[in-house]
Amino acid sequence: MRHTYLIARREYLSYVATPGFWLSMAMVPVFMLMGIAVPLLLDRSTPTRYFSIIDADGRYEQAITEKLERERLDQARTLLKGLSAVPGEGEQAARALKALDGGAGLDSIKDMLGPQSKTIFKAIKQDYVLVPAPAQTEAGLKPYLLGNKTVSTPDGDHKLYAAAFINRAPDGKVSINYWSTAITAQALKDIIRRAVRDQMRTEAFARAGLQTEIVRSINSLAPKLASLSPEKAEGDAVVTASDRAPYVVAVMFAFVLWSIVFSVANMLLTSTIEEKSGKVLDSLLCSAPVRALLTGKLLGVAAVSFTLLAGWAVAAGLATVLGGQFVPAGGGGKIAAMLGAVIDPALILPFLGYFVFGYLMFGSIFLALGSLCETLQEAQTLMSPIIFTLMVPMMALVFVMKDPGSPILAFISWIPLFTPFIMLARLPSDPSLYEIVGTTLVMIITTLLVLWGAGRVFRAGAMHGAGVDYFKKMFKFGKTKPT
Amino acid sequence: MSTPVFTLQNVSKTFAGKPAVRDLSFIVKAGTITGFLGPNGAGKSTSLRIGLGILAPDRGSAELFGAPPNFDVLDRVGFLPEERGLYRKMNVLAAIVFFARLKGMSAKAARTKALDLLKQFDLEGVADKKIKTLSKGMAQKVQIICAIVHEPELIILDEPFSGLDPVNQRTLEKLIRTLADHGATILFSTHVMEHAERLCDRIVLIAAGRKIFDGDVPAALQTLPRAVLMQTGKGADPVIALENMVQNIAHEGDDDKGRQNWWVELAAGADAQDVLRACVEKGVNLTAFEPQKRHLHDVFMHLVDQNEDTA
Repeated sequence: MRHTYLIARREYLSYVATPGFWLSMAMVPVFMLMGIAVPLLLDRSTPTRYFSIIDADGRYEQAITEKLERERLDQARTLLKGLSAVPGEGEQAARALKALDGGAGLDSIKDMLGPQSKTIFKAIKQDYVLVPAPAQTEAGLKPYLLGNKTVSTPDGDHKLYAAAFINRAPDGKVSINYWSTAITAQALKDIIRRAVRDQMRTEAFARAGLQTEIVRSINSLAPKLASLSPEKAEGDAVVTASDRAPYVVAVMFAFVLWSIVFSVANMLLTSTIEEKSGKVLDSLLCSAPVRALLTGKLLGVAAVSFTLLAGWAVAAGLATVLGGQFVPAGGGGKIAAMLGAVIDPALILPFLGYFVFGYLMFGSIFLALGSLCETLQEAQTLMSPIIFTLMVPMMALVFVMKDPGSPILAFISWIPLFTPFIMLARLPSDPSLYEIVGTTLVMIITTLLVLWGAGRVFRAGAMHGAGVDYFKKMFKFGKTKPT
Repeated sequence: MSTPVFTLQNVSKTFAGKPAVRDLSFIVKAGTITGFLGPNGAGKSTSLRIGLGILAPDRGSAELFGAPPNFDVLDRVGFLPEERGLYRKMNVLAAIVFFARLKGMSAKAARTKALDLLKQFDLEGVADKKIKTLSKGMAQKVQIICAIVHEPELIILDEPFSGLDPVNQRTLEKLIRTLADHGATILFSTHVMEHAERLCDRIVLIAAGRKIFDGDVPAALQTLPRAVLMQTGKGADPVIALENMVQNIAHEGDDDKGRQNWWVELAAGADAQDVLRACVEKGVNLTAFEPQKRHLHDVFMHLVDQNEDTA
C-alpha cells in the first residue's frame, strides 16, 4: 500500500506541479467560453453594410426593403418570445409581442418595453441598409464597390458593399447581377433573391386572378407541430427543452469522457517512456513491486484527471452563477434544462463508472506499450492501431444524437473498448436492462483481462527490457517465448 | 555462524537461448565488503538482479537475509543499478526523499538524512535544483545517495565507479569504507580491479556466467605464481641455471645494448631469494633483478584466460 501510495503521489505531483497541467485545466473553460463568445462578438462587431439596387422596372426595390424589415421583425419576435417566458420579467415583452403580431412597428413597441428596449434593439441592429445607387451603370458603380469612392449614408460616407442589377426580360424572366468584392458572403445575396422571388410569385398569382391578401393567407398556411412523448404523464406530454437536455448532455459527457481518457492515457504513455528511457525503472523495481508501480501510476494519473474534472466543474459552476445575469433573453430556460441534466446523478454516476473502466482499459494498454518503448517514435508504431480504434466511438457519437436506437450503435455498445462512450451517450434513450447489465459485465471482465495482460507486458518491458518487437515475438506461436 | 545476508544457490538464467548465468553460487557475509568481478557481459548485473528478486532465475534460488527476496527484506537493501537514472524533472531533495520513503522512512527523517548526505557529498547547493541540470558525476552521486539514504544493512552497487572522475572515485571508495565501518555489508560489481583490490575483504570472480574464483584477495593473488623480471648481459642464458625453481621463463626481448629481459614465474615453494642465489652461484651475468608484486588485475586476466581455454 505504501509503495502504491508513494508512486501515485509522485505521479500526481509530477503533473499538477507543471504549468502544462494548469494550462490544460484552463484551456477547456477558455475554449468553451470562446466557443460562445466568439460568434457573439463576431456578430456584434459586424459593421452595417450599405448596398444599392438598380431596378429597371422599379417593382422589386420595395419588396427588398420590406423583406429586410420583416427579417428585423422576426428577430424581434424571437427575442420577445424568449423574454416573455422569463417569470416576473416577461409581462412587458408579452404585451410587446402581442402588439408586434397585431401589426405594430418596431418603433411603436419601443415605449412599451421600457428599459428592456435597449437590449432588444441592440440585438436586432440593421446589418444591411439600402441606399440610393450613386450610378446606374456597372462601370459607374465600380469605383464605389472597390472603395475608391464612397456613398453618402445616414451614418456618414461609406464604401458600397454591394449593388444588384435587376432586369426583367420581355417574357417575364428576371435576372439579378449581384456585384460585390465580398465574393463568399451569402446573406445579402439570399435576402435579395428571396425578396425578388416572392414578388415574382405574388405578381404571378395576381395575374392568375388571385388577390394579394388571399396569396398571403395561403403562404402563411403551415401545420403547428407539437412534439409529444408517450413516456410523459398524461396532460403533460409535450416535449420540452428539459426533456431533450439529457440526450444532448449525455453525448456531451461521452465526448468529454473520450477526451479525458485519451489525454490521461497519453500522460501514462509518456511518463512510462520517460522512466524507461531515463533508466529510472531499475531503481524503482528494487524499491517497489511491479504491481505497485502499475497501480500507483494508474491511480496517480486517475487523480490528475479527477482534479481536471473537478476544476472544470468548479469553472462551470462559477460561470453559471456569475454568468446567469448575462444569459441572453430566451436562453434561460434551455440553459437551466441543460444544467439540470448536467448535475443529474443518473448521468453523473454512470459517467464516473464508465470513466473508471474506460480509463483502466486504455490507461493500462498505454502504460504497457510505454514500457516497451524507449522513445515516442517507437511508441507511435504501436499506438496507431489503438488510435484508430479510439476514433470509432468518436465517430459513432455523432450518430447517437440522430438515432440512439440504431442497431449498429446497439451492436458496438457490446465492444468493451467502446462501451464506456457509447453506452453513456445512449443512457437517456433507456436501453434495456439486459443491454446495460450485459455490456457492463463484458466491460468489467475485459478490463480485468486487459489489466492482467498489461501487467505481463509491463513486467516484460520494465524487468526484462522487452522492446517494441515483443508483440512480434509473441505472435510467433511456439517459436520464441517473449522474455 | 551468522546467516549470510546475500545468497545465490545454483542459479542459472538464460535469455533467448543464450545462457547469462550458469549454476552460480556464492554468499555474502554480514559486515564484509565483497567485490563481484568479471568482464563486461559476464553476467554480473543479471546475477545481482536475481539476488534482489527483480529477475526470476530459471533454476536455483536467491535469498536476502535468509529469506527469499521480498519487499520487507528489500527495505533493508540499498541498490545502485548499472542502468542509472532519476526523474529528470524532479528536484534533487525530492528525488532522494521519494526513494527513502519507498524504503519505509518517514518524510521528516528522509529529508533530514538526505540533507545530511548531500552535505557529505558536497552537494548541499543543489538540493533544490532539478536533476536534469546536474552534471553526470553529480547525478551519479545523487543516485548513490538514493541507494544509501535509508541506511540499509546491505548495499549492492552495480558498477558504482563507472562514470566518476578519479576524485569522485576516491570519495566513493572512502564512503564505502565508512559505510562498512558503520556495520553495512557491501557487495559491488566492477571490472576495474584496483578498486576491488583496495576495498574488498572478499572477491567473487565470474566469467561467461560461471564462477571462477571465490575467496579473499590474498588467496586470489596466490592463484598466480610469484614472478621476477630479470635482465642479463649479452649472451647470458639463465634458463638452465634456474631449471628446477621456475615453472615458466620467457625471453622478453633485448634492450638497445643487447641486454636480455626475462620474465620468470617461480615454481611452487620457490622464492625470489632462491632465484637470485642460483643466478649468482651459476655465474649468470645479472644486470637487473626485480621481484614482481602481483595484482588482482593479473589474477583476473589469468583466471579469465584460463576459463576461456577450458570453456
